[in-house]
Amino acid sequence: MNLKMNKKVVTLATVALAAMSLAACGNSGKNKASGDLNVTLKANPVTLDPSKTIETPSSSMQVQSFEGLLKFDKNNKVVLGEAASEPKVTNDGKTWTFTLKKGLKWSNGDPVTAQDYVASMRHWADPKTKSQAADKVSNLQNYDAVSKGQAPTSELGVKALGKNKVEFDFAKKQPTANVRNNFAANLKPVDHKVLAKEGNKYGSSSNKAVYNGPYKVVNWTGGSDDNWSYVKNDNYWNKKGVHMNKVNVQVTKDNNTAQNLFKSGKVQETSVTADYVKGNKNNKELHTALMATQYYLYFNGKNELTKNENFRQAVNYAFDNDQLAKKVLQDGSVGATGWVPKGDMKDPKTGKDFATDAGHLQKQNKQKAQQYWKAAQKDLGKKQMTLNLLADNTDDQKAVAEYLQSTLQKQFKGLKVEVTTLPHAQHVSRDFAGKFELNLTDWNSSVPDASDFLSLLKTGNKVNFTNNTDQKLDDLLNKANDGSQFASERYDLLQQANKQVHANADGVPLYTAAQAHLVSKHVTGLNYGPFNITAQYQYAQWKK
Amino acid sequence: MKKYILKRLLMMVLTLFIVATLTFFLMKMIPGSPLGNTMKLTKAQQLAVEKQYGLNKPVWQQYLAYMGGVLHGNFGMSYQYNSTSVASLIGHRVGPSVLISFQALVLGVVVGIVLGCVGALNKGTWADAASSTLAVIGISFPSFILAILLQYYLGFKLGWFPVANWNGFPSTILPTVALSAVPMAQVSRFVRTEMVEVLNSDYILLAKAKGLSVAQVVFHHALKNSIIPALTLIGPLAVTLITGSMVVENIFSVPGIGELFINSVLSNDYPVIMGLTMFYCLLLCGILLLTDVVYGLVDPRILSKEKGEH
Repeated sequence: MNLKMNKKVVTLATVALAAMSLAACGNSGKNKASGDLNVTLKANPVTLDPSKTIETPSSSMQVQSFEGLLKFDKNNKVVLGEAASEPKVTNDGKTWTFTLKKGLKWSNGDPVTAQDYVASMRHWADPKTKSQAADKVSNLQNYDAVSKGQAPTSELGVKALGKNKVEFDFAKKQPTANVRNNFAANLKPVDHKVLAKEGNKYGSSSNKAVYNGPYKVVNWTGGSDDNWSYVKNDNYWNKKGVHMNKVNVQVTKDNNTAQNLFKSGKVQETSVTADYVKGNKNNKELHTALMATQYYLYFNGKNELTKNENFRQAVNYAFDNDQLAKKVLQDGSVGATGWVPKGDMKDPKTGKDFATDAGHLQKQNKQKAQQYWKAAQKDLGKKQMTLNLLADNTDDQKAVAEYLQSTLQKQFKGLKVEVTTLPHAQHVSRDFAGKFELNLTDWNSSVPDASDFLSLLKTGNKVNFTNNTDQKLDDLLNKANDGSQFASERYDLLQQANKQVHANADGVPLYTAAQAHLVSKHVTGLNYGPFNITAQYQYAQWKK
Repeated sequence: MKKYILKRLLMMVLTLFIVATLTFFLMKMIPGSPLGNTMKLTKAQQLAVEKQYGLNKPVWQQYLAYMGGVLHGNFGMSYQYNSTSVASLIGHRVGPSVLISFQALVLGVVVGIVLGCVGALNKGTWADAASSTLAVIGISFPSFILAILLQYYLGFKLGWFPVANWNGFPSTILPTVALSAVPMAQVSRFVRTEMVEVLNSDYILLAKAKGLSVAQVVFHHALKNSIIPALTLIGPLAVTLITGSMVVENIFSVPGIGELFINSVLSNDYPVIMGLTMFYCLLLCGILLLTDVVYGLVDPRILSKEKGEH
């Protein structure tokens, strides 16, 4: 019997080995240097409809397949896209007219017309679209009434002047930076015929949209699909500038898997996490880039201790941001030198970076910290105090929170800091409810404009979680954004607002976050930056 | 039997109703908004979107509207995947989860029965010790560790199998093997214990006395009675595999439903949470019913007991 049983086991093992050999597929892609580009994406995109897009994976898919009037080039600069020239400004800065390039076509052969931009804006503002990205178009005339369903979408401040001219009417005078960088560089048109046909299903899969960008999206069946491709769009106006004919995307959520796929040559580009960066700093295929995401420690202006100015100043001088970035995070993030992150905005006259120009405003100074702490203790008449610090429950945020906790407790005798970590959605609900004392939070911008970060502390901004108000800061920001300033004057006003933010010390800028990617040594042209969070594959090439 | 099944089906409907109701109200107690961009929308914009989704109504009205939809087979639209119905989201993702779970179950049960038999027939020898050791490893070793090891050595180092990606049968092998460890271990332990007992019973002694070969004794007499208790394991194991394969799915990039569930909870995507909870509940009730029926068919004593009761 034992013999018979052993025979069976041997047979089973043989069958299993045979199956393994049949399934075996070698690492043929290890030195891949031609053909299709294979890449991974961290999460599933949700939609191909720009008006419904609020997350990175969908933006990543759209940046390959759609193009607006203006666009970010590979160096993070806003340049002409489908617009033939810079816009014409009339009506005291309220009306902006763009002219389209000639001969533009959608991937199905339809011409791209001004009507496609009008249809896109109306679709965006239409309450039936349920857009959560309304912040992008809410400056248009009559937006409020249209978005509430109180006026037809035809009342929205956008119209087609013939086939090639599109006119945007804003409710208020607009600064150039706002229209170029926030509005025209972010909005994308829709083929009005396809939108009319598909209705609210527009963009829910790759065959329910047509494309005017460098690539067509192929075989994406919807939000639950993990594989699709970008195939070169022969109707794209600059198709000669597109080198890769096909890019295949695989959603890969597990970091180890993504690294194994990259190392085995199955993919040529993938994103990696801080853990990988820490252990692979010398890897030449590792690329880190700063994002337009800045982390802050906010004080609650309604709490007895955290609203005390001496306490806020004390904490502002407590941290060594460089140490936080280099020793705690170690993922390519850099310590913040001021409220506005590096790489966000440039001086229109000199081209100098806003943050560099502002100087090193956020510095550790233990002596000053002690002086302010003693003054705060005196103000409050207390020697012992306990504060709660609220943070996201991710590994990196827990590490940062622990660094802040230990630094504060070490420097300020009598202060006890307790840390509460929550999932992001719950953290946000506590932000809005004002249920925190100290709050570790971030702001991610899609606009290369310092005003976006500085306005976080403006009166009436619903994300001003500090609840502190300052008339001087409000005046400076209002003046900078009323459209009456020349670019250089506006820049100076924003620098003044930046100084005011630092003087108020309502929050502490901590670090600018970075992202990291592995890019095959055989591939060139993939660039990442604050506003190119995902690479634009149209610039990718095989190295020769 | 028919009456029994009918009664169980009615109980299933009641269970589903209770689970749906409890989940709906518990879910509404999770803090946070289902909207993903609350930071950048103004209050008015946020209210306008909430109105479109009917989130501005009192919770009991939302509950009635939802249950009304369910009765008409409408499980709603996902908030996160704005233009996609919950039914199609689940429909797209359930296939891969069920496939790797089913394969893992079959592989685990078959190998488990073989190992259990080997252990029982060679009680006290090295073969028994080896099968026990394998079972202990299978139970105590988390499936995701096994998955990572399989991926690294068989996928990445040796290149025998795809590292990840969902592309035909080869890509299902490693996730299947990783998931099969637990059912293999549990089934082998059950079968071994039962078979040791059965092999000592009088009717086996009689069979041997009649001069039947060992193989005939094992396959015709001992095995059938030894695997009955293991059958009770299969139902719950199947459900655990389908619902608990999330980490393994992630490691091998299998487009399954596990991760959809976690994401829907984290992003407060109410219709998806509800749809998946009801789907899991239905699956568990269905498989448990099926197991009971099969159990009754394999062991007619149970069936007659049920008949007697009902």
